[in-house]
Amino acid sequence: VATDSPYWNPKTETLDRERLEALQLAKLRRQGEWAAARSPWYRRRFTEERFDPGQLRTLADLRRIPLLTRDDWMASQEANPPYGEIPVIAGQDAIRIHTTSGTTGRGPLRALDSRKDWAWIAEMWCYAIWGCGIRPVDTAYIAFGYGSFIGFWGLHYAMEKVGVLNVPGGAQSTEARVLQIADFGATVLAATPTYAIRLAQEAERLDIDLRGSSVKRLVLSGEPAGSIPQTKALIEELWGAKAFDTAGMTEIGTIMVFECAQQPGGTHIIEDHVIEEVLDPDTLVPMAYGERGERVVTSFGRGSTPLLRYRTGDLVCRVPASTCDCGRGFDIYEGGILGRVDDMKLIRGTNVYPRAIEAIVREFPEVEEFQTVISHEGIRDEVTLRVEMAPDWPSESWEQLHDSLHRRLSHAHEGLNFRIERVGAGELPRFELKARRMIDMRETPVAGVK
Amino acid sequence: VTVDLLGSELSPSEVRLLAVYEELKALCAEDLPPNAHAGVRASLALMHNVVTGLALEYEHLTDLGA
Repeated sequence: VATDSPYWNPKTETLDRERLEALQLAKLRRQGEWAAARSPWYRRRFTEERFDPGQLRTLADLRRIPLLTRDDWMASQEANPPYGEIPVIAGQDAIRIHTTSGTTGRGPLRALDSRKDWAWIAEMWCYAIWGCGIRPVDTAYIAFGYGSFIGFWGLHYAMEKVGVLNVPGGAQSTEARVLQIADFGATVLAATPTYAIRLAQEAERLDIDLRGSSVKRLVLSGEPAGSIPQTKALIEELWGAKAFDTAGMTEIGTIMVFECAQQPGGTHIIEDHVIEEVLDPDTLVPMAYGERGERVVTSFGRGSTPLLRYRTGDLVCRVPASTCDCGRGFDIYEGGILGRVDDMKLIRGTNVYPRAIEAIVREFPEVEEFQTVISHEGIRDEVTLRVEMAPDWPSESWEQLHDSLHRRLSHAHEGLNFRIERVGAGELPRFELKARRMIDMRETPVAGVK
Repeated sequence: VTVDLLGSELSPSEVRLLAVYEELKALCAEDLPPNAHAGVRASLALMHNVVTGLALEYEHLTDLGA
């Protein structure tokens, strides 16, 4: 085995742009034909939009394909339960089903996969774990609940495929997981950024020195925080290890971006398996390199549930592959997934992003957990940062911390006044997956009012 | 097939990998005992990763039960 190769798939990872796009076009034509021939939903939409896969002569013709939204998918599921008309197979022909976590008032998206699709899901994770330097000699601890949420399932199989000794850390308390990480001598940890911090806090409580442990790499996924520099620096400091960001989604089934060993400040797009467009979310015009826009993904992986031009709602900023010196031809999302297109909050005329708040709060490692609450009081909106301090933190330092947080947040938000409120130990929610630290009370309906 | 999806000549190893893949596909048409039936499809799924990854072939295997 060429373990000295920095690339999982050297042939395609090092293609120049012209050849990479030629490969994408070849696959796009076949995937378009497949969807038109086999998926009732795509067949109908293509007919409605007078699109025929034969029109795909250049990669720019991709934009002739109608967009798919989450609402489209949900509506199809609701009209034709349980799976809708996007899948090309019936449930009994699949080997696996996973769901999204669901949105208020609506059920989750259900995604069916065949045997081949599941092999591909693991294969995509292999690009990431090999690319950040994980090898068969490693021992990986997967701190994940192994439920119907797809999460790190693909990573688990990828670790096995690479030949890594895998420790599945499902259905356990945080304390038990910390003890197992130390006991098994794990060299790799996979977790969400939030949970990586939570594990480190628990280790400190148990008086276990993670910095001196055998863990050398962390694979992060599930939240944008893996590419927030301050959060990443905190995680690397707590663990004494390198942290590598990845991102994926249930709708694709796996990850589509990963951070290579060079840690270029962003994540490479696995472009031999997906086409990623960055569009203005309002006009749907393609954005240039360096401009922020919404991710729209076309995947070549799943045959059972084809995904063509899916609007993800993720906010990204794409830059050329040459931004990184790893030698890959895959372009990069600078700063990873920056957030959601719709997660910006407008408070008294000022734009407030969860990512920007987290970046500041993580500069203060004595803050163990935090939550941002936006409310409407009287005639105006208010924003409150609720913070929970580390247990051994001296209370007499509160005033200084309060002032520092207030000043930093206000300075970063055009002078907007953030209330800073200290809460008691254990008062704020803890998260294993997909932390939700911003609560907008303005959106909460009054009880009893429909 | 003598060239990949990019029009490049196949290497000797790629020719052999593609042959294994095609043989597994052909075996899916055979009436095999359950252990062989499942094993062939599991192997085919993994070989699909190889030939797709190396840009030798690109297709879906739904009709073969994989």
